[in-house]
Amino acid sequence: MQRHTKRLLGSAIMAGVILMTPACGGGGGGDSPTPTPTPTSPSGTSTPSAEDTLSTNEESARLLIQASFGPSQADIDALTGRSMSGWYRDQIAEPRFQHLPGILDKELAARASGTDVYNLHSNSFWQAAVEEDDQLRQRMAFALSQIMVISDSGDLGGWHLMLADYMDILSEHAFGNYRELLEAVTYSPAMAGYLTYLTNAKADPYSGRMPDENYAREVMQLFSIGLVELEMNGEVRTGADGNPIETYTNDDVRGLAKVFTGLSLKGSNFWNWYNTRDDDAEYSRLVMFDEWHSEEEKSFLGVTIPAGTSGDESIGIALDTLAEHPNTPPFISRQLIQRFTTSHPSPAYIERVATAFANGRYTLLDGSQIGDGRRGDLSATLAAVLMDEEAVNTNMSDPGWGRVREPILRFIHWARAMNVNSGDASKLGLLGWANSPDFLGQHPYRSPSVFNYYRPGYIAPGTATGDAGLTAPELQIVNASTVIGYASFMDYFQRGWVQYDEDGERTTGFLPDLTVETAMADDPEALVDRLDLLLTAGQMDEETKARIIGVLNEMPIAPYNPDNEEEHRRIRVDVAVNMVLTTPEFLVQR
Amino acid sequence: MIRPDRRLFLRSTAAIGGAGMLSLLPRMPAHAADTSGYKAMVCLFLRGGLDCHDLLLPYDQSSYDSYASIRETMIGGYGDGAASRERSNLTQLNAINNDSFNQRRFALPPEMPGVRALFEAGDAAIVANVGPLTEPVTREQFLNDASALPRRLFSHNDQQSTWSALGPEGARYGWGGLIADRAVEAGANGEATFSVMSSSGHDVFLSGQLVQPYQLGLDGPPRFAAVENPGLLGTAYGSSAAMDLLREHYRGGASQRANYFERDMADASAKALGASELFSKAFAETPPLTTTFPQTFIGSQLKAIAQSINLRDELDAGRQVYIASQGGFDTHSGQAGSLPATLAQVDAAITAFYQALGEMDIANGVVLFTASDFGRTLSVNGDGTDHGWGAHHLVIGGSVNGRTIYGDPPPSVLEHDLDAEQGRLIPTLSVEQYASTLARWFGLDSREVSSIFPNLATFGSSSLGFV
Repeated sequence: MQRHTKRLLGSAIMAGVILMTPACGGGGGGDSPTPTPTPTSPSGTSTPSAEDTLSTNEESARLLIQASFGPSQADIDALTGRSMSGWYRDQIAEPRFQHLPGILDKELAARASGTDVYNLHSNSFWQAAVEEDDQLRQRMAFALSQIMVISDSGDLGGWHLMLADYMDILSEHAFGNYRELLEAVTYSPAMAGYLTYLTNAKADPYSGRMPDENYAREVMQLFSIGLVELEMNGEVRTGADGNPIETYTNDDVRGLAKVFTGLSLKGSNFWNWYNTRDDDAEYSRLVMFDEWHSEEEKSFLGVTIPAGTSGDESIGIALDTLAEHPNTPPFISRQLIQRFTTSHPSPAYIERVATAFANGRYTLLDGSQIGDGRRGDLSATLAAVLMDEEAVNTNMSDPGWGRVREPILRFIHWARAMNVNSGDASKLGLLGWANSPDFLGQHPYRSPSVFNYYRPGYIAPGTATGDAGLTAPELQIVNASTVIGYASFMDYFQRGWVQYDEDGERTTGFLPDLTVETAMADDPEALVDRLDLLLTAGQMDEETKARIIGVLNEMPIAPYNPDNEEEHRRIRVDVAVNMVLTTPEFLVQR
Repeated sequence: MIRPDRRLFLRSTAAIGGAGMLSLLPRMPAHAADTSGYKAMVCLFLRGGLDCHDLLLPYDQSSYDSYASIRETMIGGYGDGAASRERSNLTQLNAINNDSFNQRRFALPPEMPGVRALFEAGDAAIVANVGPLTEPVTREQFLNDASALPRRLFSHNDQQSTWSALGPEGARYGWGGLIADRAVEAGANGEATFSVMSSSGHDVFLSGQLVQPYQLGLDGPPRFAAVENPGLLGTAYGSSAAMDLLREHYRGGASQRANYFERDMADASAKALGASELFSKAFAETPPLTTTFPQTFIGSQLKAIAQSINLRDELDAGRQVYIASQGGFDTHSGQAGSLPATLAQVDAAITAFYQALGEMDIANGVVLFTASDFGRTLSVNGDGTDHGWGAHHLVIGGSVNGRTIYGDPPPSVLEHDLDAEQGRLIPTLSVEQYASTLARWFGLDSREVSSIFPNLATFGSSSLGFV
């Protein structure tokens, strides 16, 4: 037997990786799995209600902060006056950007020439998030990437094609069905490599080898049902002893571990996939090798799969069990709400979204319906997140509403708002270090473990949210280092100090276009109003504005030499932008 | 050694001020922690669950043969080079209490020469089969669900939390933070901000009721570009007003925010700026350490911690708790290929750290100890191991009663009396015993210790004696 085949090869991401942190790594609705498609109204056939209409630029900016990677002025202009429901349907219909084609070209070229390439997938992520038009879909994929987590911080690092394939799986199913998403994830080379069930073999009584339990545990704990029984509104169910009722035991893990045996890369050999895989295996659905799949009876979560059931059929039964579990709608729904609108949603909000998940259908603000009626319809679920009464008619004086924005989203929003020009992200060395606590402390697809950068149930000790008992996941990565690292990181980009390639040449990428802002530099009030709309959806308070204006007024424009006028205007803009990017109004989305 | 006098002086000055009369009253029961000298605890958290069976290996022939047979499908993967698990390649531990294990002997893996040297020199000990327990458990009880067990065994995040904060994820206070609370209460630190510090992000281990972790930068003190380049911010034109407004801005503004999330972010900015200015000032005023640390993630972390300990006088710190962490231990797969390299990094970083303590002449004041999610199965899943429970841990420091194996490592067979199946060890020593031993050394009295560790009475001894 090959002993090394199960391990993915090649983990180097870039030289000197010291700052990267490799680690470990319902309600019974929707009983019928049969699709019952419901025709959705074409855009504009219903009369937009007042709350469906984005009547001001501020409302448009707020929606785009919640549901895209952040607005530019053009995005806001295009949305104001339109129907939110129409926008939602248009975003779903927007052609999907795929990472794989571009990455495949670069990877194959690198392999052919024998050169090392790094970060192809993350460079593609940054560029697509800034530039592509299917914003809602890519934003949903990013949200899903924080629930069904893979990370390039371990063995997966050099496998760009697997990573790209996984990123595309998330965007493909972003508006699809949860059950199908779960299956695509389970059969993905990236997840199998990350959670170590690639070439997971059935038990061998002679050597004492047992099936790997890794995926069995995490698919239950993190990707579907969670640890404790939930009501549809997300509240924890307790037993007679007053303790939460746990959803599974270690025996369930061991039973389910037998299910995820027998999978390897598409090719001719289970164990020796490295040498025998098909050319497209790194981005193709895994293949079941039934001779290595457990023939034993498999019992978990009250389900027993009879002895001798094939691998694919066993996995199908297991995933059906997870998707049909009453916990799945509230467990997934609460996390999606946290990714888009608020960190500590009310039970009623969770229940409304979980019901949309379970029923597979949701009525948009214009009265039209979305979703195909199958349990787990994510287009209905996401609509329920974004169009919920609490999200649309938010009580802005509720001190517990809002969410700390992920540092990744803050950066991309800056890039979009400042109209950074297109360019090759691979030239931006600092982007590759975003993960460092000395910078953003976060990087797409680079979580320290399958538990993401922060936990959905995190309550920060010694804080106002913590004292109020509010979960605030993103606060888990807010600390003295990342607060300062973030402000500095943004400043470097704003000033164009990092946009150099490896030869020290200035690149053309990710440089802000500040034409409009610089022209406003002589009028600090106007400049701050513009940034307020673009970056904080008009939510900046008067005291904050006054302080920023006060600083700008202390910065004379070319007092001694008129040749410095443009430079000094630019410095005013840079200072103003960094100040706005470090306001609580920008850091927190409301 | 100016420290004790200086703190005494500071406390006396405080006593002459407002609270003077109060401080003359007997207050022993409330603030009993001993705060003399300088002491620091450093938790090195090995994320993912270090395979205890691959840290403390059986060395006598008979135990080794049993081990090698159970791990047959994996053991060849270590190759016949430096990482080989052949018996002849292991480094035997000449523990002073070897005789208490009869014919059994133990070894460390070959990639840990630094820790082994510390052990042989009496500066390191091993604490065997520690894990979360609410009461003692036997295999019989475990298999029949006949005893109270810690909640959510075998789950990464919950067992990390249980090791750190004595309860599954969601626990609010870690024992590192609660221990530091008592020291702060007793006046050990002039600046509470630097009582608990992390080199690896937020950790519940350090959350107390009085203290919250300060995050150490890994490349020296954090650099606040916007504040450190005032010339670009307009003060080049002579305006200190702009700089004052900027400072107020980066401190989160003057008024308290109504929204809780906004208030938290404003507070985080204020704390970050205030603390990092103090820290940077101390850093600039202290001669740097000359010890060379490895250029690894864990090496950078232990370097940052050593540099912080080096500032203890300037930061007016008498008692500190630190945490560093290293991932890569969740070896479900490819264990033979990955674990030796990870352990080698840990070994090199610990070695440098101990050398730095010597450079600062503070080795007797610092104890580094390991923690991990759990141990792992002795049986193999092909080329890796799965989640376990009890595990063996390292304790390192000049005050450690070293060259000793505390506790009793279970035999390297399956289905022994402490086998929770597949060689998952049922712990014989509780995390609370392990932690309270450190707490007592740190200066807490027995009453303070039992207030932090509720199940301690169940286990008889509150100190395992390793320090």
